[in-house]
Amino acid sequence: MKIEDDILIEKFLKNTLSDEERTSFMKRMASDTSFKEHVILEQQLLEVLGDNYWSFATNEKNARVVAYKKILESEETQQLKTTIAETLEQHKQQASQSSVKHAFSLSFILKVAAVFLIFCISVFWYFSSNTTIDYAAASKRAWDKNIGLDFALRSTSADTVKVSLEKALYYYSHQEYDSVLSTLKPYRDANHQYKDILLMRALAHYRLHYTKTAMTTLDSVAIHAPKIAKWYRGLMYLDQHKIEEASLFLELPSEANQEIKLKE
Amino acid sequence: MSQKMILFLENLSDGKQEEVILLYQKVFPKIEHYVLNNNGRLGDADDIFQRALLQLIVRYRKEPFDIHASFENYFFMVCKNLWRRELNSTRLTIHNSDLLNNVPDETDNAFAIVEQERYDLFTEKLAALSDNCKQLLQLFFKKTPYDVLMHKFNYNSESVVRQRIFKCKNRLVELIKKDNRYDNLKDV
Repeated sequence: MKIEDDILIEKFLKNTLSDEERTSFMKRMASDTSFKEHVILEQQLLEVLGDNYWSFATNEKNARVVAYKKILESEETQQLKTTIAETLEQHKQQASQSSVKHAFSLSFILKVAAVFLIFCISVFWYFSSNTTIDYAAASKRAWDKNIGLDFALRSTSADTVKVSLEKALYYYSHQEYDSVLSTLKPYRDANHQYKDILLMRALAHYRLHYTKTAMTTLDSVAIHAPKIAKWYRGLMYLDQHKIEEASLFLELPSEANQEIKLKE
Repeated sequence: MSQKMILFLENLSDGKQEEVILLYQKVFPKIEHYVLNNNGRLGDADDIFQRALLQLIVRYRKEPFDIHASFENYFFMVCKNLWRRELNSTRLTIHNSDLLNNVPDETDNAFAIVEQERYDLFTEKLAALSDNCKQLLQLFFKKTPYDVLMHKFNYNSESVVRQRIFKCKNRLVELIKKDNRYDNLKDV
């Protein structure tokens, strides 16, 4: 394999070949089996060893797939599947019963504790006019969903904008927010992925503590993608403990394990 | 594979309840924590645990295989990969619903097994490279831009980085292709 071919394959996998280059690349794939095998292996390496993707198998006729399917479908394996499920179910039930027994043996202590707890809660309610829920964990999970940041999956274009957006996303995930802004600086509103560019800018501004600029930028995002703008505006307010403002955009959890949802 | 591990897998394969429960007690809290922290729910962690267990038993029944880590660590990694697969398949469903076929359960489970085998082969060969190649390729496959790699590894230019990646990648490909497992997995 020559380095020129390597560059070509990388461009193909990043979807940055020109139409002419792509046509010639596909022709070579069709005629050169060894080249095709190499391209497929490079793609699999990228999918398996990168973090964000997974390399799916698709060939049902592959001998190994057929052999595994046969074992999986066998009566013996199906029986084993049931046994495992039942074993775990029984174990969970026993664990829960044992915790109930334990709870009974502790009932007296708990009664005393309950009285004490009621006293503490009363004191707490007396001194605190507002009960507050800790939204920090729910907010973190909501941020981690990275809503609207799936550029690579949404765009099939082969231009530099997509590459810049992916680069900016890389910087963002590595907390290099100044680099996000400098990477996206050249782009103006004539661009077809301007909504994504604005969103990345808004998030980078926010992380750099330019909250006002971030909110103003989200106003522009809202023109193209109102739901995404609402989502992040809500999360930003929530991070600043402005619960009332956040509630205008988001359905906030009333219990610790609930998820934040967008207010429709 | 150690005798202890073979015995453990044989017991699992026979559906011995104590072994299944022991593994559940040891590893499930970690799996649950991972799945819940990665957009999953409690039921998902249970499902992943059972699928991973069945996957390893089926693999063992077909032929014994090497595990280069403790069984618990390997099992957790299989669970992580199954969840990563699940998340990516959900993303594909959202964005490419027309392209997805309704693959029967057992075919999908068979696919998941060969995908894990491919993962084992690639990561094992990556680990066999020099530290420099390994670190460089790990970042390259995570789509780290060339200019970032240049600064991180103190190379003089992006072209030098590209040359180095090219050499490391060729070495990796060479190691993979030399392994007998590659022929069984290349057209999946």
